[in-house]
Amino acid sequence: MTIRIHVAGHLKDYTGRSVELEIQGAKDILDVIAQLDERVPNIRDRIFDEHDRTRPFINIYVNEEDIRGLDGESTKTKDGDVIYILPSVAGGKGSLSAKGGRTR
Amino acid sequence: MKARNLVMLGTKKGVFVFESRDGRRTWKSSGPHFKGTSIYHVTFDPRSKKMLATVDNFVKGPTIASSRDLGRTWKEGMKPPRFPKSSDWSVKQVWHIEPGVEEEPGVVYCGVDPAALFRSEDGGETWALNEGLYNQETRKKWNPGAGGLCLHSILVDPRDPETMHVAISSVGILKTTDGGESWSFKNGNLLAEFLPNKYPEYGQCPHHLVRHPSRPDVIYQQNHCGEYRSDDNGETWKEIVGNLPSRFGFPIAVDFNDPKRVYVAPEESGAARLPPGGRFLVWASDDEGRRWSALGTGLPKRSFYTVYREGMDTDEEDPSGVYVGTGTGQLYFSRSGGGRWTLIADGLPPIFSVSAAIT
Repeated sequence: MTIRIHVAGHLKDYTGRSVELEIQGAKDILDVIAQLDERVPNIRDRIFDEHDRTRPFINIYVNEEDIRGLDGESTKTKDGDVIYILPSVAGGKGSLSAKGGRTR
Repeated sequence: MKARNLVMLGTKKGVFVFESRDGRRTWKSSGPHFKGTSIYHVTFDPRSKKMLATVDNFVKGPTIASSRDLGRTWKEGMKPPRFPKSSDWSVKQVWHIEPGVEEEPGVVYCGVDPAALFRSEDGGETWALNEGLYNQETRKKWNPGAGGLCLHSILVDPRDPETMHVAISSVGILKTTDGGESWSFKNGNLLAEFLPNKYPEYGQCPHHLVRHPSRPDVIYQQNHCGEYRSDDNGETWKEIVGNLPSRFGFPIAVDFNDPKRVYVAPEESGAARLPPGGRFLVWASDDEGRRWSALGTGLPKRSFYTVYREGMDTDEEDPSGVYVGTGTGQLYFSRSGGGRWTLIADGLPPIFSVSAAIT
C-alpha cells in the first residue's frame, strides 16, 4: 500500500529538495504524518500543534479533498492516495492576529 | 583581537545583525535572516557564543533557533516548546529567550503565550514545561491583556539559579526560590488602575523587567501603570514615576556601568500609545528613578515613534552605549548615555527587540 505525499512552501525547508515522498501502510492522516516525521525529523511539530490539530495556516488534502471537510486528522487513507500538505493562502488584515500575529 | 560590538534585532520580517569592529563608529549589517518571519526576540548567549532567536512563522508555528556564526546561518531546535497532550493549552508564540547562569552552560529558558515557562538543558534543542508555574493555583483565573497572556520577562538570579522572576502581562510578577517548584506573586505596591481593586494580589500588568548586572538585588520594572524599582531582589517595589510625562510605556534598560542610571521611553497613555506631545524621547534617571531628564538630541523634533518592550538595550562598554529600535524601523544609538543620538539604520521592518553584545 503506497501513499504519495507532496509538500510545498515553508515545509520544503524540512524535506530538502524532495517535494514528493512515499510511505507505506498508513491508515489515516495521523499515521501519515507520524510516518512522515520518521523520514523527515521535526516536520510533525510544524504541521500539527501539541494536540495533533493541523496548524491554522496549513491545509492537508487527500486526493484534492481538504481533510477539514472530511474526518480531519482521522481521515482514512488507502493505497494510491495522494496527500498534499500545503500552506494556505493568507493576506489582508485582521485574521493574522487571531491566529498568531503580533501584538505588543 | 579587537572587540566586536554586535546589535541583534528581532523584527516583523526577520533577524538583522549589526556589527562594528571600530569601537562602534561604523556598522556593517546583515539580514534579514528568516526572511519574512516574525522574530520577537534575539539574544546572545555568552556561554556558548550562540545567538538565540524566537522564530514565529505563521504557517509552521513558533520555535527557537540558534546561530553559531553570528547570524550567518541558523538552525532550528530539535523540538519546539510544547505543552503536554494532557494540557488544554497550545503554544501560540514565544516571547522571550533567556540564557541561564554560567554554572549551568546548557540551560536556557523561554517564555511563551499562553503564560508558561519552558526550560532547555541542551542549549535550546529540546524543552520541558515548568510544571510548578503551570500548576500555580491561580492559573485558571489568569486573563490575557492586549498582548495576549504572554510571559515576556525572565530574570535568573546570577548568584542562585534556583531564584528566578517571571513577568506575565495582566497577571504580574512571580518569584521562585526553589528552582521553579513553587511560585508566589510579588506584586505588592504595584498599581492596577484598570481593576476594581487597585492593589490586588495579582492581575497587574508588567511590561518589562530588567536586573542590574552589578547589583543583582536591584530590579527595574516598566509597568502598564508606572515605573518601579525593587532593591530587595523583587520582594517589594517602589514607584519611581517622578517627573516622567507618563506612567505608560514598554521598554526599560539599565546602564551597564552605573547601577543608578536607568532609561525608559514613555508613551502618552495605554489608550493612545504615542509619544507625549508628538515627540519621541528617551528619558533617563541618574538617581534610580527619583528625577528624570529627557534625552532628545539627535531625535526628530516631531516623531511618533514607539518602542516595543524588548526594543531598548545597553552595551557593556564604558560609557555604556544605548540602542533603541522603533516600531517603524529606525535604529538609534547613543555612545554617551543618550546625550546624543545617531541613526544607525532606517527603513527596517518594525523592530520588536534590540540586544547588544560584545564578542
